[in-house]
Amino acid sequence: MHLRTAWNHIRRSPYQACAAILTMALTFFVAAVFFLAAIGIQTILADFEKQPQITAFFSDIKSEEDIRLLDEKLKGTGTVEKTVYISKEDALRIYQEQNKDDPLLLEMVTADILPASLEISATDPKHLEGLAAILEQEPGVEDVIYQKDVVDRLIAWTQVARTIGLVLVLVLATVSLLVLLTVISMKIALKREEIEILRLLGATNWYIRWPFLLEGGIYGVIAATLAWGASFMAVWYSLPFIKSFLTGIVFTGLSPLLILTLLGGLVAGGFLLGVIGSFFALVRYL
Amino acid sequence: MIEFKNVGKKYSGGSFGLEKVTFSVVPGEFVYLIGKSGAGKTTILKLLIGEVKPSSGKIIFKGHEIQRFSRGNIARLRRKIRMVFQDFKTLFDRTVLENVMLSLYILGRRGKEAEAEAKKALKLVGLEDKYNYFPVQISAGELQRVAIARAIAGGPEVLLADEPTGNLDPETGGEIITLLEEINRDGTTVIVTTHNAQLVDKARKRVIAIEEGKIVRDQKEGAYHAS
Repeated sequence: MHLRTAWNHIRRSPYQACAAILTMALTFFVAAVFFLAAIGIQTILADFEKQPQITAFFSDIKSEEDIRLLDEKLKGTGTVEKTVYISKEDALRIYQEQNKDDPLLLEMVTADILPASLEISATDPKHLEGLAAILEQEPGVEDVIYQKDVVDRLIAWTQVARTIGLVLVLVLATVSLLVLLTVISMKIALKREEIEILRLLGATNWYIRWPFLLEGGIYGVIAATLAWGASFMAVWYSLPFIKSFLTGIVFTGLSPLLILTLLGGLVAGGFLLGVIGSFFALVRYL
Repeated sequence: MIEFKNVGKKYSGGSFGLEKVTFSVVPGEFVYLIGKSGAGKTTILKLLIGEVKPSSGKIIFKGHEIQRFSRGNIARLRRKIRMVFQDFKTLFDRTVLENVMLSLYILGRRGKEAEAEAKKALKLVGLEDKYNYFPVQISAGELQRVAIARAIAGGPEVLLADEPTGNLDPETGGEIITLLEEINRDGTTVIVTTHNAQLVDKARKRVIAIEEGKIVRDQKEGAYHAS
């Protein structure tokens, strides 16, 4: 009953409804994009954490025997959990797997130009510095990649992105609330006569309020659904670019559970924001 | 059923609406409130539906003091005491049927039930062929009937009609009064304010005459002018 009245309110003033829905949709779109970005960064972080914490790349002067000796030396410190030796041929196989869709890249690379490497996992992150120092002093070691630095930097970026996202969403949510408050207030003003008649016929305040509250809720639900669709479209179109940018990191893809969770969260948030916006207008004008 | 005990109403600015008004109405009664414009007739009706509060005295409906009612209780009171307004107060973007259904929705009726009751009320006022007309498509007399149908839909205990013949020609006005009498015969208490001496004289019902906010005459089978 109240839902039908709310729907009639929306139908009779489509432009105001569009203004409210689009402003709210923008808020939810930004929130959804930042949420998905956070999930993405979390995946990347997990991937990094699964990888060995130090990778040493060797120049061609280092023979397999030299590397085996170095491996034993490292294990001798008692701080190494495990090591994995990646020969030039292994490196080529990994490269070929990563670039199997790009024949041009495959043609240009042979095992000779790829370095052999040793992936070392420490028993405890505090031993990483000592292990890195041993590797850096070793002749024939061309490069030492210290994964902990990368992870720390990623965490710092995540924090910054999270703060920016939160501030942006808060500002947009406030704007949405104000637009909704204005739209509902205008509708209350336009329906003064109807409200007066309803009161004279014995309608309680809540009987009059419910359709306005639901109207705000409907705006929120429509806006959230639109934003949900738009954010997945955006991710869908940008996924190939992201994948090529982050070669080597395994994306499990967007699970149906994640998609539905986001939809549920956005719709619930949208409904709540809509109802709160309408409630403020009702408190102020009714 | 309804009791006014020394009711006074002073409007802001100091002008008096009513002064020490005392009368009572029993269930099933038909009462005419007569008097010049500004005498205080409409104020009495507004006090009865809690639209204005008295400055002094008590207004009692079925043992309860109306002036003490909360907003929620005022709403519930207005479902029992329904009013037909001088300016009809119909919604111009709704059909005749939808206007009547409005008061039934407030009573909690839904869908087909509300529609059936609204059609019954409209049939009673003779508008069974105008369900889907909009207010701009019907005459003032028919609009008055819509207002009456909306007020009686759902079966109120008391029906108040504020100058129901004021905007109508004598013939249509007569038909409206006949309709109100029929509603009264079915058991609804009816209070009508009017200037129409001819209709009051013909009806021979109870007459309460008001002048400058005071009751000057309360006659059981009265006429418009004091005999």
